[in-house]
Amino acid sequence: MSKRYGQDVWALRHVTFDVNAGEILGIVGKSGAGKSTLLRCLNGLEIPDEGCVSFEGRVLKEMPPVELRDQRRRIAMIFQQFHLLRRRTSLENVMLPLEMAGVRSNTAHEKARACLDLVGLSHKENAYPGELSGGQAQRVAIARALASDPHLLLCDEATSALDPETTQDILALLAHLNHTLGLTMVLITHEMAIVRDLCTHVVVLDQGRVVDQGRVDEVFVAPKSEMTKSLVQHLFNARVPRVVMERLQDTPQGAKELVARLFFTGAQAAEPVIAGLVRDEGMDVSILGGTLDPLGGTICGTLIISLPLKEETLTRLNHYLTPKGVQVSLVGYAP
Amino acid sequence: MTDLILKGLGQTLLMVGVATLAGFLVGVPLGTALYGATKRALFQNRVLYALADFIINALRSIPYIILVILLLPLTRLLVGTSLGTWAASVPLGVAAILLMARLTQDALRQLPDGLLHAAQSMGATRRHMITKVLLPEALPALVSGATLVIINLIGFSAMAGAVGGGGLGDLAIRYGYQRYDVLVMVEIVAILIVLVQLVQSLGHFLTKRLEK
Repeated sequence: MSKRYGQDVWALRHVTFDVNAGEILGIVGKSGAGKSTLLRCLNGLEIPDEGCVSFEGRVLKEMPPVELRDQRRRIAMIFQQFHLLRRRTSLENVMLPLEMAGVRSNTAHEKARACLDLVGLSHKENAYPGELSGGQAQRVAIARALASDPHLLLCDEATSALDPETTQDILALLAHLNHTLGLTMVLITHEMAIVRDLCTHVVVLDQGRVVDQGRVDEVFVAPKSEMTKSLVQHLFNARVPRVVMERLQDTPQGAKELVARLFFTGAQAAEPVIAGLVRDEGMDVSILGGTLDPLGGTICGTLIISLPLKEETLTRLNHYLTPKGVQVSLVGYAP
Repeated sequence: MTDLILKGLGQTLLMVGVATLAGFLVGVPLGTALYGATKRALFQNRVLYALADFIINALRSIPYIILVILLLPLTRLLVGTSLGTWAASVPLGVAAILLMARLTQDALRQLPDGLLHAAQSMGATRRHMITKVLLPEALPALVSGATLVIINLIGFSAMAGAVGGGGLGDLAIRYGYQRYDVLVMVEIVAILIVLVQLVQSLGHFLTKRLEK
């Protein structure tokens, strides 16, 4: 589908993807990449100018308004700012979608309690949103989303307003709901870390176009676009220790060591590569820092290494490592 | 004199009460409509909004005493006469409606847009959005707005004397000012101060209670 604003400003251009039941799709991109518009197209709040969104075999934009409204109850949504009603208690907030669907009060009460229980907030049912922490408020919002028995949950930067620890809690809850209820999810985020921790599939958006898509491990290991590469690299980027950084110089004049960053995308394991450098190339490698994460049977991450500076060290490094799926970039020279 | 003051107080309360009621019953829906006309999720209509916006601004620009005169035909139509307390309530009611409409629109505008998106994503109808989400969330602001309206109306009601509406303000002008009766003037001003304080405190108390 494509979505246009005004005459020829395209918010989305030829975006195509499928989400199968039970999957968690992450849509990543920088702000202004068209993520929010895309999400709003998914529940019919925006109508694409070209192409269409079909949900469970039915095309959203062909539905009459009343049916579309009913359909939206099957597609729940949570938000960065939670959007709870401040003058309703947690329980009453969870009951809201049920009231709108015309569910009888008793049934709605029971259902809302069950949903609050599911997110672990039964003890806060009489609390007002103002009395809840960010994490608790998002849990109430998730319970509210669950109240209408959705088939699909849309998450709009759902953890961006939360601290790192709470973010992990909410991600764990979402993963749990995905496992236990088989709830399909589409989430938009600017953080690759969330995709890595939660999603099964990923779509990378850049200026309204899809630049990468597929299973998370495949995309992480073999990113096709510069955008994805930079997002993934940023995610696994190890910082060069400051004590090292302070000693670095830009030119090799008078330097004894060379500091380089190795970026692993799909290398089978880190150690054999480093061991190989020592054994086959006779380089005395010392590791200054790094982060490595196992992902889909391979290794993803970066290592910061330092080597004695000799003739063509950098060229030899590149020659040896590039065929093994390790990218090399020069950090600097140390005396 | 005490009788006159009590009678005046009664007239003031009647005029302000009727006008406030009109302000709530007509002004709140009008303000909601104004807000709704600016939102795609409700019933966006730029032309209608611009027109209504202009008319309300124009009416609010007219000095109150002139409005009283301009509205004489409407008053006759509604009350049957253009004189007396009930007649004086009509322009006061119109002023209340205009003020309340603006305050309602402002109160709704203060709410985060996300609330509408959230309601929409739940499959809310327009009526649900207004009755279950927007107005209940804006209630504290509406009550605090109404407090302001009532205090303004107490001030406006002083001009009711122009159409024989009576009230405390009228007494203050006729006895206190025109007959140089300083005592009456002081008494009436004191009563008005107490009245405004009461309204303000009550409004503040209610607003605080409604905020969660």
